[in-house]
Amino acid sequence: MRHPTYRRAAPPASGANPRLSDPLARLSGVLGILLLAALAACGNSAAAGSSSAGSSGTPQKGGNLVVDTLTPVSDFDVWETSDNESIWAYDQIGQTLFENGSDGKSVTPLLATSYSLSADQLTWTFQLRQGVRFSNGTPMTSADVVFSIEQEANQTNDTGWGYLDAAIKSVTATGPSTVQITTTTPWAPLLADLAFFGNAIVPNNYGGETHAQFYQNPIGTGPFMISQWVKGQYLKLVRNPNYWQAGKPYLDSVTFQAVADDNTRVLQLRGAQAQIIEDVPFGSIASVRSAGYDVGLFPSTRIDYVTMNEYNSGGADTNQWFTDPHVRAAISYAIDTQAIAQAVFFGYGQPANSPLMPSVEYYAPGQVDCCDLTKARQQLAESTYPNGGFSIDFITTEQDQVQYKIAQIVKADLAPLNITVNLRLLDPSTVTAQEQSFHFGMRETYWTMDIIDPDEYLSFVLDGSPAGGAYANFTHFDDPTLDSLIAEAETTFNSTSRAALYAAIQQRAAADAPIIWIGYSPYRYGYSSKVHGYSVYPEGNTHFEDVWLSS
Amino acid sequence: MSLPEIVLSPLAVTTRRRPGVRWLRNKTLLAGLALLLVIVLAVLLAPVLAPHDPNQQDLFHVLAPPSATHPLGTDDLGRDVWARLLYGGRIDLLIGVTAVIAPFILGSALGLLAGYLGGWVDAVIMRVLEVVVAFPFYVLIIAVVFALGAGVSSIFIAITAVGWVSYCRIVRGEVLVAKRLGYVEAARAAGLSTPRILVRHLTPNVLTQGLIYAMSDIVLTILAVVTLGFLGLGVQPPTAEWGSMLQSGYEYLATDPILGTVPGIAVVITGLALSLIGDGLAAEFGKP
Amino acid sequence: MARYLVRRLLQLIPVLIGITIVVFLLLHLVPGDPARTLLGVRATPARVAALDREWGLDKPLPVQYVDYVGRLLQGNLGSSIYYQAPVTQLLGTALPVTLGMLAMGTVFGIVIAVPLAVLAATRAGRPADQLIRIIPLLGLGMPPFWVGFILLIIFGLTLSLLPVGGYGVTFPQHLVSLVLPALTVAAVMAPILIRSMRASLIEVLRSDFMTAARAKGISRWRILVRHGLRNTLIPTVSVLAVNLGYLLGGTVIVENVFGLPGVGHLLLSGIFDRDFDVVQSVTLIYALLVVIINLAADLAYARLDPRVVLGS
Repeated sequence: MRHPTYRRAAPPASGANPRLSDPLARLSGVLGILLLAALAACGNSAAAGSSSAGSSGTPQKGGNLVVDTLTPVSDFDVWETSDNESIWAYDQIGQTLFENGSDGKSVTPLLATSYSLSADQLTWTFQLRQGVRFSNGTPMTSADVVFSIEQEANQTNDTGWGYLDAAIKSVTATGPSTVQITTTTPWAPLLADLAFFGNAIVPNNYGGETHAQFYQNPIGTGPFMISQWVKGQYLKLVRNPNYWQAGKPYLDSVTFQAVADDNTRVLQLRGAQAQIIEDVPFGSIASVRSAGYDVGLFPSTRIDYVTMNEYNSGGADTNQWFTDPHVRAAISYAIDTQAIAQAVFFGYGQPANSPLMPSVEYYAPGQVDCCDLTKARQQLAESTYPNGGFSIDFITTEQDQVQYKIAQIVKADLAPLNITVNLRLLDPSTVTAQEQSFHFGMRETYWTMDIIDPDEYLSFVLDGSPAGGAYANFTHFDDPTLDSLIAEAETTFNSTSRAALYAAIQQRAAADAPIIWIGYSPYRYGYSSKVHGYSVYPEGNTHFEDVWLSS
Repeated sequence: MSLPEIVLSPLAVTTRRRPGVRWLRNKTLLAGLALLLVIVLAVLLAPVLAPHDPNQQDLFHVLAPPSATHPLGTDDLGRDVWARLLYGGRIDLLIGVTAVIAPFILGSALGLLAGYLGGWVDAVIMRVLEVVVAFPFYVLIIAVVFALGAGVSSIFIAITAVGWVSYCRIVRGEVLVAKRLGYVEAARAAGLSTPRILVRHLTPNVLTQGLIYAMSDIVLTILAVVTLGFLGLGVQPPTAEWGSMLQSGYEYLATDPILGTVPGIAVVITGLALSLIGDGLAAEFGKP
Repeated sequence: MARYLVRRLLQLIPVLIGITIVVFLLLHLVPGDPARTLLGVRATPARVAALDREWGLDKPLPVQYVDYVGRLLQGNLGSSIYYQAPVTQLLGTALPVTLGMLAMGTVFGIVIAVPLAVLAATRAGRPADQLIRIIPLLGLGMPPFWVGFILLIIFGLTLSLLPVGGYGVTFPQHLVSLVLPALTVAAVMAPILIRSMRASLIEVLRSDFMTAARAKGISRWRILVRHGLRNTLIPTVSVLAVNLGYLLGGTVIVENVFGLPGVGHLLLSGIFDRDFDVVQSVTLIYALLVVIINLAADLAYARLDPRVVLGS
């Protein structure tokens, strides 16, 4: 069955505007910078649980790798594309100044080699790497960098990714290999934002093409370049002869082939038609392994959760029950996330114990209390609906089995509280459309981090103020204290202070329970024993320049 | 009876056999009816034959193999597959049978008009028919259900919009035969009113032909419901239905093939029963 | 023949118009603001405005329709929001896949059906015939996609014989990837073929012509092959054409089961992605295919059967 990549809801309509709030001691600011730099420098050393495929042996040059993906690579336009397959394929072509580290908690320099921050924390100066060329042979200069970041920051698509660059005030080339970025306010997540694919470095003025033309066939400084792209079927990338990292990539080519059906992908792996397959179904992991293939359970940044709509439209679709925190708490206790981890993730995932995920910086476990029907009943008794007696519309789609199953489990779990859950089966786009127009009672969804900094995610999912941009994941939940904590954290550089703020945020969010945090699950990639050097980073991307095939 | 009636009674005019006790010797028809009876009884007696609640989840025993308590094992949410099969059968059979009523009525009415009135009415109806027929069955059904939103009422609307065609053709054909044989004119000359002719003399043949076709139409409808269920455009969860069972069964084809094969077998057996009945009826009442 | 062709083409025109009307109206079946609903997640103010402009959603319906037909006649099938490419480009790569599967499936279907039909007809009434006659009865009730499952289990999981799923990159890979899907199509087609071929073969075998030929000493087999099969060709062609709509529709899901990037897959993904130009154009293409193939079948019918008086 077709599983369209379950795309996250589009980024919020208005950018998360950083606020000028708490002043920071300059000293702690400098310390913060040093700490950040230290983290960035040793990003790759702590391989926190991330396994990598067959890294022993000498890499062999050559080979054509076939990767089966869930959906086809559809669109490289960095202003709007939001499906993971397109993003992760684009990562092989275009590179950014910084990249996400393998532990998912830091960034490492890539096209920039170093940076410094001004005393007022508003001006960042980056040194660019020497000897970098685009795949057509043109050397990369600061003019290209300026153009690339500006085109992302100043894009005309107001529902695109531009909001991630909202804090950027100006980008200038102060030399052939130096670029300066000023921000409107001290902005801690800047390096993480620069590691975002939208900020990949492209030729100045798109090399003479229009924006649309360029992204039909983009070039970059990355290890691979486009050879053939049959939209809807496959994308074939070949080695970039001008790639700046000596000796890499090992592979001659990487082909991304779209195979929507889970079974077919597994069969393709077993039939050697593909060497890597994306998204091995949880239920098939055991059988794939027993067939002699590996299934890498790479730590991901995925968290599944269920939202409860508090929007009071005053009309027929008013959800007045969710505004009562006791009702929300009761529902939180009633949903058996341990059973879900067992039945939906087949034991390969864990119940969520915090709004944040374990592989994200500032994660603080032990926040969420769950799976207790007695406590659920107690909470309900204290609420305005002591006997339940209302019904909720849970919008879901059969196209996403995880979502679909969790919806059915929630329905069963809330029945003992005398709360009726009506499952409304829709197609995936309608689910998102209804969610964004607030016409729903509950829905299940998930998040995977786009950048390593928790700010983007927490703003989206918890910030109910207009600045958050998404009305707390479209629930209209609004806790002004939480909002200001989030705003404060994004302008705090000192990592200890930041950690304290995020701990407070997680604790408060868990207690308020605007959202039911369900579980964490790993990325599941099947691969043959011929594949080496393969691993998937917590943000979901892969460095195919490190992968090699043995014969 | 008056003279015109005698002259125009079906016995006098057609060469088709009349129903009688002969049908008890029609093996095909008997086999089909017997099989259908077994199926209908099975789904009606579901509470007796399958003591489990089809929606009862057991999240710690998902995808269990067949056992004493679960003769066909459990599905991906730990629900009893045998129970879901039987209760699901109710839905599919019910929709299958009721969904052909509207197309039958609509199609027959249009066919009657087209055949009897002829001229531009016939031309228009036939053109519309050709347009509908140009669209592949599933394509139009999926597109209509998608546009209207998933759910049982959309299924009914889609099936009606697409399914009237065959009944229209059958009825129109019968009316044209009747016209060609001249007895419509004769009846009119004898003083019988148009509606009376239509109803009394054409109906028996129309009904039997329609009924024969309806058997295969029910099968097609069940297939459509099952296909829509497979695509997630059908009956709302968690209601058991063969199509959505196949959908989740497909996920686990490699680990638990029972889920993906058994509902399909149920559809095939039901189709077999109905086709046997259709063939049997055709042998009894069909054109020689 | 030429006159017949021209007449048929003229008769087609109202049907073609009707098809475009139905396809056009599909857009307006969707409740609410079509542009916004259709774009769903991608509904930026710019896009909604662009869509409104493209289809002239603010103009009266008849005007919109005329505009739409105008665009069609210019070969403009719209563009895919999801792929950011013209629909004609997507169809260009998808059509060969579907047509290839259909062609291969038809060949397989005939290869399966003919021997069985001959066997049943020559042993009419006897056990072999009874057994073979069950096939159409079973076949009618088989959901096409479920047949795909079974083939997947047998050939993919148990035997691991054929590559399953996807379409491959090179031409030989394409061919091999089409085998199982084609078998699925054949499995849906064969029961229909068996039934009609058997019936017409029996007719031939019982005909006076047959008796006369036998009396002359010509072997039963020779008559069967030379005359029987040729005579069944006509009703077979017409049966295939009549069922074409159903067969084509079945391929939609089959493509999905096997992950074939054909027209059916385009349709389904267009539906789930709310890529409206794609859905509209693919539906149109399907209808056109049915009409064209029916026309070709009629012409072939006319060629094959000298008894058909053209244009009468």
